[in-house]
Amino acid sequence: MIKKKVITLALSTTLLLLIINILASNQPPASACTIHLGKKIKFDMEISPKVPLFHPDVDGYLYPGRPKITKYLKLINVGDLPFRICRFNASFSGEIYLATGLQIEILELGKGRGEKPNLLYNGTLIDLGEGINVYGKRAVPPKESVTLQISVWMPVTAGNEYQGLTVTADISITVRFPPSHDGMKC
Amino acid sequence: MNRKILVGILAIGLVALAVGWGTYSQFSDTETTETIFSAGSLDLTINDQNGQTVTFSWTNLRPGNQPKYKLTLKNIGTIRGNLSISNIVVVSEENGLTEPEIEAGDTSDDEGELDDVLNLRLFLDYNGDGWISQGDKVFFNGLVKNLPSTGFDLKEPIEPNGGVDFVVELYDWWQHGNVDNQAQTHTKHNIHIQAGSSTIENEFNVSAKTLQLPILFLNFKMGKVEG
Repeated sequence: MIKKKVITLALSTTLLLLIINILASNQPPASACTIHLGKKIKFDMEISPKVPLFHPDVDGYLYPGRPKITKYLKLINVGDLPFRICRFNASFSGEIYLATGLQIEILELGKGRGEKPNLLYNGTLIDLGEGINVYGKRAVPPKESVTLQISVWMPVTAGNEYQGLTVTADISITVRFPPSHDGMKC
Repeated sequence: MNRKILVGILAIGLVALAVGWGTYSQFSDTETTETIFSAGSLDLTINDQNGQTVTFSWTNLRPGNQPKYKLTLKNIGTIRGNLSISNIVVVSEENGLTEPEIEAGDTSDDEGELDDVLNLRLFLDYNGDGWISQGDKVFFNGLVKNLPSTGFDLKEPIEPNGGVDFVVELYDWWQHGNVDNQAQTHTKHNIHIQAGSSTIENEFNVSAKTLQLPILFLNFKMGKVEG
């Protein structure tokens, strides 16, 4: 009788843990997710502004030697777990060749004025398309945000081959939990 | 026996927990922001023509007259540009010796003389009347042979869809006595003015008293405005 109870308990425990696994592993890896571990836990980020960050109607045209165009993108933690920035990616449409002639710099701004910005990426826009793993400096707690300073410019050495081109770049920012630096893939 | 079962259960539970934690640790969220970048353009046209040769002619050219030609340079690009003439090439050809030239003392059959006697004015004609008026930018006024090969940095900003009139004017080419005759020959001559991919070919058909004109290459250039 006791043996039967023990076996039933064991099976139940195993089943419960497997269910937890299934619940967790069924979450889409690149989207917000909610799991139940005794209580509802949400892992979610929002960005602001939601309108295109750069647009020629607002920012004008790029040309060699023009000063950097700088914009700010806020990543807001609307979930229940802290997150840290871990990856950038970009997909392109239009005249993609222009992306080879543009430089982009992404800085993670500190929480206070005294905190130095953390350089996350500095390179060509086209290289961002391969996906870049980065290490965000700050673990952003729930209900708080981190700001990215994104600057784009065309180097003075850029030539006539870029004249008149337009490219659309969808820049993706991925954050992850746990926010520790453990060398884990994003 | 029960203890073994419990250990087994615990082991299975730990493995499952580890796997579960591994999955849990990969929580991530991705958001995407759209960006659109456009590179500006500079495109200079001459008399509304681009990428082709524009030809104009002066006929019956002779000492004493004051021929001129007005070109309209436009920026059909999307950003402001600075107009300049990047380099100037003057080719003065003898084109053979005629009797009046020899009598005037011209013994060289491989070197033209017209650039020694021909005066040229180059100016930006802001009011478009074709003459030098107050406020127009005269950037050359002298003998053709003194044209600087390095050209002129006109620092003339041209806004997108804007333009400026550019005047080439010949004058005072009859006051040099025998030298005038040394410049004689009978031929037609070309002036080439290039603007980016555009080329203007000025064809001089000289009749009455035939003279050799130098070939003048002006390379227009429009560069970006800093800042």
